[in-house]
Amino acid sequence: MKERKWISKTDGIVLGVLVLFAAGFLLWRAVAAQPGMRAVVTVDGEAVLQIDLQSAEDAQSYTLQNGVRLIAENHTVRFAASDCPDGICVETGALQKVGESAACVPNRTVVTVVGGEPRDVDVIAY
Amino acid sequence: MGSAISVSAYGGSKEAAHSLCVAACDAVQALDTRVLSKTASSSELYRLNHTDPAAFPVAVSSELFDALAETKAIYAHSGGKAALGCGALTSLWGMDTDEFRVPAQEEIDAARALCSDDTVQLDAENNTVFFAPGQELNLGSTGKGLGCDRAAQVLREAVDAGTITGGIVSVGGSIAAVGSSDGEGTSWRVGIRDPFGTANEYFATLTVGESFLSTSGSYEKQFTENGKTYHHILDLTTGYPAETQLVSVTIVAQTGLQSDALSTLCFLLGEEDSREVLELYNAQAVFVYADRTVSATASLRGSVELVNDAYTWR
Repeated sequence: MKERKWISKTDGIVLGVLVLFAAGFLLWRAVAAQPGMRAVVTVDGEAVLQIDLQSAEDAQSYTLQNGVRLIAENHTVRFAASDCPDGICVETGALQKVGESAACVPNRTVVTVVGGEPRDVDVIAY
Repeated sequence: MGSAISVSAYGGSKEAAHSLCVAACDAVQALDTRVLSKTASSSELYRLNHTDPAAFPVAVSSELFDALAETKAIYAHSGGKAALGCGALTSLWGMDTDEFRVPAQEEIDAARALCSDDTVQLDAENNTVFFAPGQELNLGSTGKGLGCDRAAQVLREAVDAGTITGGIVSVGGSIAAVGSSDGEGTSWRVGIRDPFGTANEYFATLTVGESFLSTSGSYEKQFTENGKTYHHILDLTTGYPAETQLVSVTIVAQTGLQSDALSTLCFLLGEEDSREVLELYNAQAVFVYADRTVSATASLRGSVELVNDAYTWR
């Protein structure tokens, strides 16, 4: 009878690749979750909502007065639903970096990711 | 004093917090226009500096007298590098009006001769002031701190009355932290400006309770003439901006006036020579050097967190 090792060479390679994937994913998450990162939502140029993306993990839905629905999840934010005819805003997909933004022109709604630099202080002495 | 004032109040109703913030701001502005300003003719200090020397000694308000006396007392530890009576030199460099220029050596020598506090006499019994003809008193390096003291007083009374739980004041970057944001004594986090960064970047955070903080840095007011950059912290022993490896000093002290005066003083003295005066005033300090190394007084060290990788502990 052929002796069987606890972990064969192939098992090891598969396991190694999995660990690498996991580490990569964790690292990506760590980079994505920049301190102070948040989404600023404006309608007609007026800020109506701020979403803390730094702490946004599980999907959370936000419905604006104009019916536009946003979802924040895994430190990203995206247009989930809008009654606009073209649906470009939803197609834009998830915003995940500071500076990225998406707009729903018919509903005059803009979402911008801001922050990123650590701004977790009450005041700055200079 | 040409400084941005910001006040935040925590833990009260929106209306109460708003009116308190306005009251605290007003207190700072009133102090400047009524008492401290070196350039506004409405201020007591302006009138004092423009008094005919033949009339000396003259009586001043106890508010101005106390500010003058405490500033002079702190700068007495400077070995002649800083003085209450430094106005002739700061005027010459245009430091008070932001019209900077590099004066001629003869001008500097002449102004330096008028900057000694030996000829500034403050009589605490009668609240009177005497100084030599040509001298000018300057509270430019303590005015922001004094403003913090006044605003903090407004917030402190509101905390004691239970209207709010705490607040934060910034007068041109000098900070007063009063009470706590949640009424449960949670510490405040204060960022220390990155001397090589922009105005809202900070390289370290300081965790503090109720306290006063001031930073003096060579980055604050700068101008360049003939390819050489000059900062605004003058060393009276040379008449020129201080030559130092430091780029900023942050002080945590018991009052705003002390934190403000000590930050200038310790910038001029350097870390080693600052120790004694810091102990005397029971104050703490963070020193930042041009090579982006940082040091702090022993009891503050644990409250300082470097958040910018370019900075390391010395």
